[in-house]
Amino acid sequence: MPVTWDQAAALERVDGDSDLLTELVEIFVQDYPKHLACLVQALAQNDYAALCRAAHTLKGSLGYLGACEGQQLALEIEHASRAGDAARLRQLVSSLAAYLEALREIISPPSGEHDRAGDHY
Amino acid sequence: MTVPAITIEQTGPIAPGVALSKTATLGRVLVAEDDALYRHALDHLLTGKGYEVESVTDGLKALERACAADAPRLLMLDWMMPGLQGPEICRRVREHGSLRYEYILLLTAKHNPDDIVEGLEAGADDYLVKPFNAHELLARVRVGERMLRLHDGLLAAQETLRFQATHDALTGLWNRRALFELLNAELERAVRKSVPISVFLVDIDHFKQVNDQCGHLAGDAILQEIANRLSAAVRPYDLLGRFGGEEFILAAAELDLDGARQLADRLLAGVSSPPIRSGSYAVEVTVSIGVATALTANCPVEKLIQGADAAMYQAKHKGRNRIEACRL
Repeated sequence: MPVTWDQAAALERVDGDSDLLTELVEIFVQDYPKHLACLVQALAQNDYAALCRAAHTLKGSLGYLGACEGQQLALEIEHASRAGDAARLRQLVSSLAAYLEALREIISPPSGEHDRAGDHY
Repeated sequence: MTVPAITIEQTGPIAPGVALSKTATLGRVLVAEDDALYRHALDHLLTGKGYEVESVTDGLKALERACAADAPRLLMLDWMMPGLQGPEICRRVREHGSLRYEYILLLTAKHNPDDIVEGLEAGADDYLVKPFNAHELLARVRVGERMLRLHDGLLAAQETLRFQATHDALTGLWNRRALFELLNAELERAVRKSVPISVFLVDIDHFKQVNDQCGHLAGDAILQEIANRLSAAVRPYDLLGRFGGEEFILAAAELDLDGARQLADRLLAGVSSPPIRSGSYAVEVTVSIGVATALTANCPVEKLIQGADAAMYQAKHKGRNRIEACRL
């Protein structure tokens, strides 16, 4: 699974405000483990509605940040939850977990930058 | 030209154009978004353009805030939210129904036409597809503001027309047509509550001479001043109007014969002194008052007015500046 970040598209979306983009990345990095945990738990409980909701939220955030492959994966999870396809969901959720881990490496600002963004927010 | 139907609320005269200009709630946006990332982006982008942003994170809170009297009138609602979803909030806000209009922008990751139609049918004015671009967001918000301003302008114009259609242009009192409608309603109320109702006709004495000697502008000034003096003498819930020419009409409920007499005395005394100044003139003005009181209601409006009219002519014949009453 390729992991690319279309930073230029994300920056254009926020009208070139790179500080804002840094803050949004920061929020995402803090927030996504919670949504991922929801996905994993919902999968274990065959709770397709919860799977769909968590995937929907992740899809929105990933789309805004320009993480296109992740957005696509989340969309597929939404579809598979509606279809109730448990086997496919297990596969997709694990792909998304790996993807998010890799994405975090790419989009996280260096640690010095990290603190500054934290202060901002 | 057809005259639009006018509903008259018995709240007393309201100055035109003031009631509904809620400019203070423009420039404010209510954002309902459960995703922290979008919430922060919206807050930052809107605040950066000078909007005051209020954020909530679930649908129930969004509905509660949207229906509050001091809420922003520009609402940005995420479609998928815990509590209530965007379209349902739209439906409930529209059902809540009030004079004020909320402009609703639905945020959605859905872009198939059926979903968009569903959102708009639910009451949204516009929608914005996620992930949205800052320029498009701000442009759509400006459209919303434009619509709200247009709406406020129309309401203010309607209010002005309503005022003009129901009030006498010279004195600001109820006009004859409005007063008849209000009088009918007041009479029905009196019947229902079994209380007496009185109609007073107040006619300025020798008004033609005032006009002839001082001119019509002075005559107008005198009519205005008499209207002010009568307004000051009546109770806030009495109905006072200009019946025509130099004649005023007053309807007052829940007064017995003595009470009606006392009110008429107050009117008579209140009008006649001090002399009214207009330009170089100081005119001593008196009025003749005819009162008709229906103690047990169920008396048609026409009969009350005829009674008051006859009593008023009697007051004229008996020398003016006096009160005559008749009981029906």
